[in-house]
Amino acid sequence: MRTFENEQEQIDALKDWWRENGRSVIAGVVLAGVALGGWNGWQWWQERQFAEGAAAYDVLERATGDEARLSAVQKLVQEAPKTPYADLAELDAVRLLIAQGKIDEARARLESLSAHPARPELEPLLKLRLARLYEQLGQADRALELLKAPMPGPFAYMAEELRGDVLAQQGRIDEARQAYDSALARGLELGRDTGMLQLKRDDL
Amino acid sequence: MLMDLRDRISGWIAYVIVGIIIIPFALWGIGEYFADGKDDPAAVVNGVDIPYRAYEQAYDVQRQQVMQMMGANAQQMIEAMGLKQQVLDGLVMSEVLNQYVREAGYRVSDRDLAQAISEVSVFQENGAFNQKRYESVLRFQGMSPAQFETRLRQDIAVEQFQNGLAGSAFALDVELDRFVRLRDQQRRLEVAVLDAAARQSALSLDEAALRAYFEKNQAAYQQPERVRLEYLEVSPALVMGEAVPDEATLKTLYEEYLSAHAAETKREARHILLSLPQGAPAEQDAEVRKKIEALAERIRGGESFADVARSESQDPGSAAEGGSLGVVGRGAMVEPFEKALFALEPGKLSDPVRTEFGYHLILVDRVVDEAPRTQEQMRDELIAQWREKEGESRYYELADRLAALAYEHPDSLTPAAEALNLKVNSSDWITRNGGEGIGQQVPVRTAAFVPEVLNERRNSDVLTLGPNHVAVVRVTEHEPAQARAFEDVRADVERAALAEALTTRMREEGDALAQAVRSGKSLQQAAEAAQARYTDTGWVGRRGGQVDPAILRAGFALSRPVADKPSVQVVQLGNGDVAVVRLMEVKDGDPTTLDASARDALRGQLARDFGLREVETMSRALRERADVKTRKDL
Repeated sequence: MRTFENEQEQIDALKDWWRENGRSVIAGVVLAGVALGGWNGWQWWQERQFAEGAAAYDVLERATGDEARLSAVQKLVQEAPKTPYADLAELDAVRLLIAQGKIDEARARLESLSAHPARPELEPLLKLRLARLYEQLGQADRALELLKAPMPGPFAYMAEELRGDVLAQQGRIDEARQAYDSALARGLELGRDTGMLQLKRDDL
Repeated sequence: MLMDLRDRISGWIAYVIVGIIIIPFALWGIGEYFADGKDDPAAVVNGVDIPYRAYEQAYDVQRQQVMQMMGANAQQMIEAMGLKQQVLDGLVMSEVLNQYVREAGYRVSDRDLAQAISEVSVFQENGAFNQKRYESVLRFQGMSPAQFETRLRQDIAVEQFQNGLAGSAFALDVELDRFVRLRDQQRRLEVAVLDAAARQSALSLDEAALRAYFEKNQAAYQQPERVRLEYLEVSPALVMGEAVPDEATLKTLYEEYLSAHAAETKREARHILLSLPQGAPAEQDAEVRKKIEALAERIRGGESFADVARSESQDPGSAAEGGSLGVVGRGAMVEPFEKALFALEPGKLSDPVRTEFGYHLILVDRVVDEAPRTQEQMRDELIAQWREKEGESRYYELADRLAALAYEHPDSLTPAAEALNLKVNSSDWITRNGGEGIGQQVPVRTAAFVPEVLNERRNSDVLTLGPNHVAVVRVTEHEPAQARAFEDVRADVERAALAEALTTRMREEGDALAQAVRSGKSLQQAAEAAQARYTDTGWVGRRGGQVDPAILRAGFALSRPVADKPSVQVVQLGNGDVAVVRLMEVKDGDPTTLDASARDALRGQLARDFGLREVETMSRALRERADVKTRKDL
């Protein structure tokens, strides 16, 4: 460590130091300020999005009649696309299309939602619903392809059951039995009511 | 080196070093020594604590519910269903969901929150939300409005999330058809029943066989390990016994009763309402007030209150009844109304009264005033009241001292009994699985067989036997499990051995029959040869009417028969008979028989099932993703 003869020397040393590092110190402080401001701004903006999403979802829930609902979905998805409400709204649109018998339109809509949901945790659930639509549309191969990817534990139970359904429909009995058995094992682990699953398995 | 240190380090530096060394001891050492883990949270979810207190509260509520439903068997039920784990799982799950909806961006607007609160019926008075009532109900629950609103906001957000998923669930045509084909499926079964009773009478075992059975199953014929206990019990009723308060106390209690009784007078009254929303503009207010004064004028002029109420009152509940409200006590009406009502003389018309609903005219028909009972009449009730209250406050103190004394004198209950003026009771024999009297209590049986209590003959911990009911037990006699002589249990052995032999024989015969069918014989012929009752069920559905449920279950669990591979199964029936079931044909349900409305109903039901499963699965997945630590002792 350096030692100083007197105060003047100390002051000079400080000045030197400041001349060398002053800019970086100021830049650092400014940067930190900007980052903090940016973070706060982002938070504020996000909260506003959430609030808008909630309000638009409220409107959607109150809307009566298919047309009114679909246009409320459209409005919500435009106004608050990055909110969980956008996912729920799209899912509601899919349900409506199915109820109207427009299965293929529903499939297309669910496909694009499951490719980019606002909340990634929903992906397994979206995939399962999509696979069911494929089955309904007679596209068993696409359904099985979708169900091949591993899913988080609890979803794997539903996925295996669905795989069993599709395989059984195709007459691939042994594979179906295997899928049902694996679903039964998982269902037991999760403590689920496997009554219907057992019926399907026993019927093979 | 240490010598070096001691030589060189002296003066204030030494103190600083010692000080630094002390710090960790001061902070952790002592803390560790005192902490008993009682204040640890029940669980930690992603770094957020679930306080142990919250867990205890939730557990108590659930336990009470089970106790009310199950009565005497509650304790076993609580253990069997793993209530503790259930409660903890529930708390963890709701914390996981609360955190998730917050993070995902579910938000509940103030308006939605206000609406939800106003719809809660306990916060309502006369069918409308009442701020005062809202606050007092919450105060009673030990919650501030802010706390309650935060919690409710979370609940609503979770609901949004779950209802959003469940509400968009659907059921497709292929799924509907598959369900109907399965549900309405019919099967034709052939059954051969082997009669147990007939075979039992032909069965006998010699002495050697019985002895062999006894030797093999000796453990089952032991006299189980058992203990006798002595115990001290404390509960408010036990503490108070037949104690009686002094006269001065009785008098005070009686006076309390009198003032409560006075506050309880009720009135039979009628009213007329002209509605006017709160905060209505002054002109409107004046107009309605003028109208109601005109009505008052008509009544004073001789028209009956009831008639005017019938034709003019805007209170839908009472107008048709001539404005009658029936008998009204305090606390049932909004404040200004109540004030006017209880200030009014019977038969006299009130001035117009403004409440949040509008303007009222009130008429009291009758003051319902029962005469208070005398102190002598109230005596028994007052004493019971006093015992309950006094007993409870003494109980806590006694239970505390009992715990301390039983702990300080671990080898005897006498010091505690003498100090607390309690009686030491003794029990009859108690095993691990049952006993009379105090032996019926699971905590007692568990505590009695803990090594310290059983082998070292120490006092047990204080055991909670119910709300406000504790006991300490100690073992006075212990008898290990004992073998019993064959002669003593011969009858039991014979019964069990015969049953086992019969089961074996029936199963063998059943298997032989099934084998015969598998090798190509007809079940009918094989049954005749084996003296079994043969039936063909014809087409039966899953509910199967006449067919034995075990046979039906087996028949519907059999896989579809393939040409050269008969589908056959042996089942034991409830009465001990054994049935050999063969599946002949399967006829699927026909979805086209459902009409449009049945189809829609079923579609709705399946969609709801899907929705529920999806929500449950989603919640489970969220929980698995979360970082959850639970307390080790839970």
